[in-house]
Amino acid sequence: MNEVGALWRFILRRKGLSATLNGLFLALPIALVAWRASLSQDTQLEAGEIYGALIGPIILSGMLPFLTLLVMLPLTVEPFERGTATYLLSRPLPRWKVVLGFYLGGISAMAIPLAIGALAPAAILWPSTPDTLSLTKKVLGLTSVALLGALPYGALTLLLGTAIRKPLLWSLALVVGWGSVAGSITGPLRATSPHRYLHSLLRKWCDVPNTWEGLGKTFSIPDLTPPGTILSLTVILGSSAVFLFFAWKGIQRRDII
Amino acid sequence: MNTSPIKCHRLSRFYGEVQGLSELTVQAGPGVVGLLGPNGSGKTTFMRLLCGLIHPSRGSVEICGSAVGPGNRELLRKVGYAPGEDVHFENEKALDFLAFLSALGGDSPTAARKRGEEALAKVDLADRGQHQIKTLSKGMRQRIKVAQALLFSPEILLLDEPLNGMDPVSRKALLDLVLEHGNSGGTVLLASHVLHEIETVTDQVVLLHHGRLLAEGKLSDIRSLIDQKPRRLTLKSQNPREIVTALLNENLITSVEFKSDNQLAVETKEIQPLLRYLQNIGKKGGIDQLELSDQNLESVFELLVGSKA
Repeated sequence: MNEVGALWRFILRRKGLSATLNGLFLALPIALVAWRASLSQDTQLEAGEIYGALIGPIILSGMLPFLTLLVMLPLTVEPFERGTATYLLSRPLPRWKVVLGFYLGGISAMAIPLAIGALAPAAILWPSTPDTLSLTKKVLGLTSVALLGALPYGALTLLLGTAIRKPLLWSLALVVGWGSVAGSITGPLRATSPHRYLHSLLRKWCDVPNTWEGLGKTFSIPDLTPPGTILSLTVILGSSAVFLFFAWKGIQRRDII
Repeated sequence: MNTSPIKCHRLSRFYGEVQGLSELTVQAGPGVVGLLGPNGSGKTTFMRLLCGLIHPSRGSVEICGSAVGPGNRELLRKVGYAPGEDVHFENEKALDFLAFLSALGGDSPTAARKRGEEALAKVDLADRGQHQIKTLSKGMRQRIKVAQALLFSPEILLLDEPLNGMDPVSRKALLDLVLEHGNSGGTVLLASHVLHEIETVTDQVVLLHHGRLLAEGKLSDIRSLIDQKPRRLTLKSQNPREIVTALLNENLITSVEFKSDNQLAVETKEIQPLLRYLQNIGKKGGIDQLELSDQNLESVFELLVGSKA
């Protein structure tokens, strides 16, 4: 698997170590926490609530789709548009390895800012939290859900990038429209969207109640019958595998013109 | 038994309504083969079909007896392709870029680096390994592309206009490398739209025009066809009318056109006797300037397209 490792390292080096991006993901959640802390005593939330009701939805519904479009989409579109894909696809390596290398590299590149975004606010909240164990559980829960969220959306964007010549609009529609929006509001598409299952895991792993308070209420209308952990994991991992399979099919048919 | 490593049969590729390559049946190699054609003639499409970067709309391609296709990626170990476009991973260092591509071929990081260094040495860029590609000159960037094609010592080299932007010294070095590869039993398909470049390394050519095979075989045969065609000469003289009278009396020209008071163009079917005659006049100071229309690619195509029409 030298080939996949080489592609993974190459992409991670090029896309995963962006100081601007990582800085943004460090600054934004911290700013949110600081803003909440500046509110009057009666509207303040305790640290765990902040994670469940504020940081969680912001990362899942805002940062995750943004990051997918910012990291994964250029990763797959640029080589084909600029012509550098010629070098990759004229190598003696099967195209499934190209897909896997792109995917692992892209997911790793997304994982760094996502983890920063999920972990950074804890540094501020820790000193003022009496129940550090509960906060730790929520922080790790959110980090895990955010990283799991990167899997289907990363694979979906990879599929669009390899199968479609101009994938930006499709990516916006599917990642933001179908994923983040349709998966968070009541409607027929909710059950089909990975976001529903990510929200479900967020509730279970971060102890977020089904009826969200405060800011969360604006962003997420409660799912009255949230799916279980096993089903959620199955859907997230299964959809990622299906998207990856079709990405492989897409890149096999793709011409370098 | 035909041992041509490159074979294609009725190979066609369309880009929507546009015809990139049409019904190309050709066998090439071993040795150096020139792939000649003006821009848009289908050279790049042909090369990309040969290394599986694009799929044929119709027909088949074989490399070393195996069909090229998405399921036959191991075949690409036998093929090295240098694209014609000036496209690179600009921020990469030259050696990192080559080591990365070697690793994509299955090498361990150490072996990949060693292979990259060897490839850089082959194109005389051993001292530029730590330079970012974006800082290199056009000629050096061209050589980097050739170096990546050479990484796995392929049997078949596909070089798409590799001499563009190269200085004369690099040009000579690359052509020597091409010749060496061809003479050692390998195959080099060298695409160009400059006839002179190809002539210095091979007599075997494939000529494409508007996506179709116009001719294949020996360049010398094509040249002899050109020699049968009337050649055009332009000359400047202080007394052009006297010269024309003399040439007509000697039966050396078939037509004449006065372009100005002291400039005229003549056509002849026998260029050598005419040149000898004009040389003698020139020695006496009767001719100020003499221009022979170049036997360049355009005239070859003009001739072949005309004869096919």
